Formats: sequence, C-alpha cells, structure tokens
Amino acid sequence: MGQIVLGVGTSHSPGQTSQIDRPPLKQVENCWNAWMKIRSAVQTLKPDLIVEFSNDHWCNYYDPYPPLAIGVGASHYGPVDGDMIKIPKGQIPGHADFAMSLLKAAYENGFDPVPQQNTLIDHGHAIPYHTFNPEHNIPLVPILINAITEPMPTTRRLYQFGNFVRTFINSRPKGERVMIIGAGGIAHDVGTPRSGWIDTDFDHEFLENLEHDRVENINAYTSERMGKSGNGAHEIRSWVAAMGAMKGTKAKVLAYEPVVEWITGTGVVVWEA
Amino acid sequence: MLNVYQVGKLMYILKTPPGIAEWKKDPEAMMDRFGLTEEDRGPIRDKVARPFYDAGLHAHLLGSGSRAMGLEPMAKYGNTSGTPTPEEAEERKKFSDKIATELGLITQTPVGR
Repeated sequence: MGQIVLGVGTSHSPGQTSQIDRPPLKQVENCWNAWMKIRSAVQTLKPDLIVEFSNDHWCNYYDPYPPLAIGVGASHYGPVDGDMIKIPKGQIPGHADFAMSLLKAAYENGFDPVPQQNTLIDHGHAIPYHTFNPEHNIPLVPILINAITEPMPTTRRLYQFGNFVRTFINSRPKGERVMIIGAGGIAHDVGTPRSGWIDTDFDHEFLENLEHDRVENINAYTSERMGKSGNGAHEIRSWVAAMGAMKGTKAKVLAYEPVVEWITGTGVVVWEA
Repeated sequence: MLNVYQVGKLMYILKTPPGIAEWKKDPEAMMDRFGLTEEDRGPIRDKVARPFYDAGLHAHLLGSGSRAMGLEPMAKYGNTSGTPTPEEAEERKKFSDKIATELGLITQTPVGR
C-alpha cells in the first residue's frame, strides 16, 4: 500500500529564486529557512515521487484551457521560464506508470483530467520542485489546475479531487512513498496597475482556515472572492487540492511574509503525515 | 473593437523562443499571420499595453507579451520596502549567494537579456 509521507503548501513567486537579495533579510530568512527545513525533510524521508498541484501560466495552453491536466510523460521539460527564475532548464523525470494509473482511476471515480504526454514546466511547478529537490532525482507527476482564466474549477471540486488522490495513493499495490505539493498564491496581482499590493487579511484568513482544517470555509471561496485579492490569489486552488490529499493530518504554518519585492503574500505550510 | 482573442493568441506564441525570433524578424508579417486588424495594431505601434488591458486581455499574457513587443507595461515592478543600509545589503547578498550555491541557481544573466 502506498503512502503520503509529507505534504507542503507553498508560494511559487519567481522572485523566490531570482530576487533573493532584494527583500528585507528578515523576511527572506523566514521564508527560506522554512523551505530549507522542508528540503531537509525530503532528504530524510526520500519519497519515491512528488505529486505537485500547481498551475500553468499560459505556457501549455491558450484555447482550450483544461480545468485539470496530469503530466503522464516519462519526462517533462522545463522550466520554460528558467532564465527568469534562475533555474537551469532540462528534462525533469516523470513517473508514467503512476501518472497513467492515476488518470485511469480518476476516470473511474468521476474526475476527468486531461492526459498530457509533453508537459512544459514553468515556474509554477519548477520553483517548489527545484527548491525541495535541486538534484531533480525524484520523479515529478505534475497536476495542472486552471487558476488563470475563467471559468476555473471550484475549491470544493479540487478538495474532492485531492481526497481522491489520497485514496488512490493508499491503494497503490506498488507501495510508493509520495510527497504532495500544492503551489501558488497566496495573495498577489500580476501584470496590473495594482501589482505590489498584497491582501494580507486574505492571506491570514486562508492560512487560519488551513491550520484549523475549516474545510467548509475553504470550499466556500468563490472565484470572485479570490479574484478580489489579485489574479494570483486564484492559485490557492492548488493548496486546496493538497489539503484534500492531506485529509486527516494537521497543517502547520512554517512561514508567512508579505514580500513586497516579490509582489506576493508568501506562505509555507507543512502537513506532517 | 480590439480583438483581444487574436492579440492574446499572438502574445501566447511570443512566450516561446521561435515566436520571439519571428517577431523580431518581421512584426507586421506576424500580425498579418494572426489576423490583427489596423485597430489591433494601433496600441502595438504606439507601444502601449493599456488599451488591451482595458479591453479584457489577461494581465499575465499582456505582461509577457508587452515585454516581447516592447510595449509600456501595465505593471511597474521594482517595488521596494525600503533602501537597505550597506551592511544589510551585504548580508542580503551573502544569504542570496548561499541559497544560489546550495540550489545550483543560475548566477549570471543569460546573454541577450
């Protein structure tokens, strides 16, 4: 039987890896100490693969834009925006057997993600993956959630999908040890006149909901509500899917900083399995 | 009325190296290929992004597209929470270098940027 050994929620702002020296040291140290703590845990726990919920940023899709896709290839390429985020480009190992089985099981359980053989990885998946596994020796199964363009999947549906992923992992006869990542957000607004404004009230409320496992509050977030906190706040959908996958475990906030230079409410949460 | 769908589609292609190369070679031909009208081309020729934003073009796409096309961007990045003292700046750099080394981050700006 497979098992989830660790769950993480984290922001994936390009500044995290490209502008480490710009924000106040106190903020950067707080965030990076949390990320390094997780990196250490990954080295100790040695997961067989990483399932990462995150979102594409207009790299894989324009029209149609699928609500949910799974990278089923034996490898993926990225980060396609690697120069911007200072992460070297290249092939990233996938886990075709796990991913294809997950896809089939999804169809049997009422979910319809799109299979994707050739997945371009952008900063959304690459920053957390590289931060926790810079050697790129742990296979990545990327799950791409539409958090970009309306209409987007609901938090309720994504929480349910996360639950399903947990059930699937637990049923795996091969007994993989899996790390879950939900990446994106928290509040930020990209490419608009109000970029740089961070809705810290939204961030604190969201993190509190996670820590206290308030599923109904999480499921009540509408697209309109998320959008009020910035177009990037839609990305909390990935954390919600991770929360669903980590059902029954307790979330702990390791760090939160509204980092103006990264234009992002930057959060790090861990669910210890 | 601006054709946001077609302009967005062009900007989507401009996120790729072949797209950028094609744009640099002949922007007008590329705008022909994507069916942009004279009205659509106006803000591009004027080097402004705002009309597309006001017409509903997604801000993410508009940001990267504006960089590729050389338009005045919608967002002004470079926000700062204050100017560091020389000592703080030095400490920040040391910490940044430590992380960059540990993670194998690219420390040199790629040629052409």
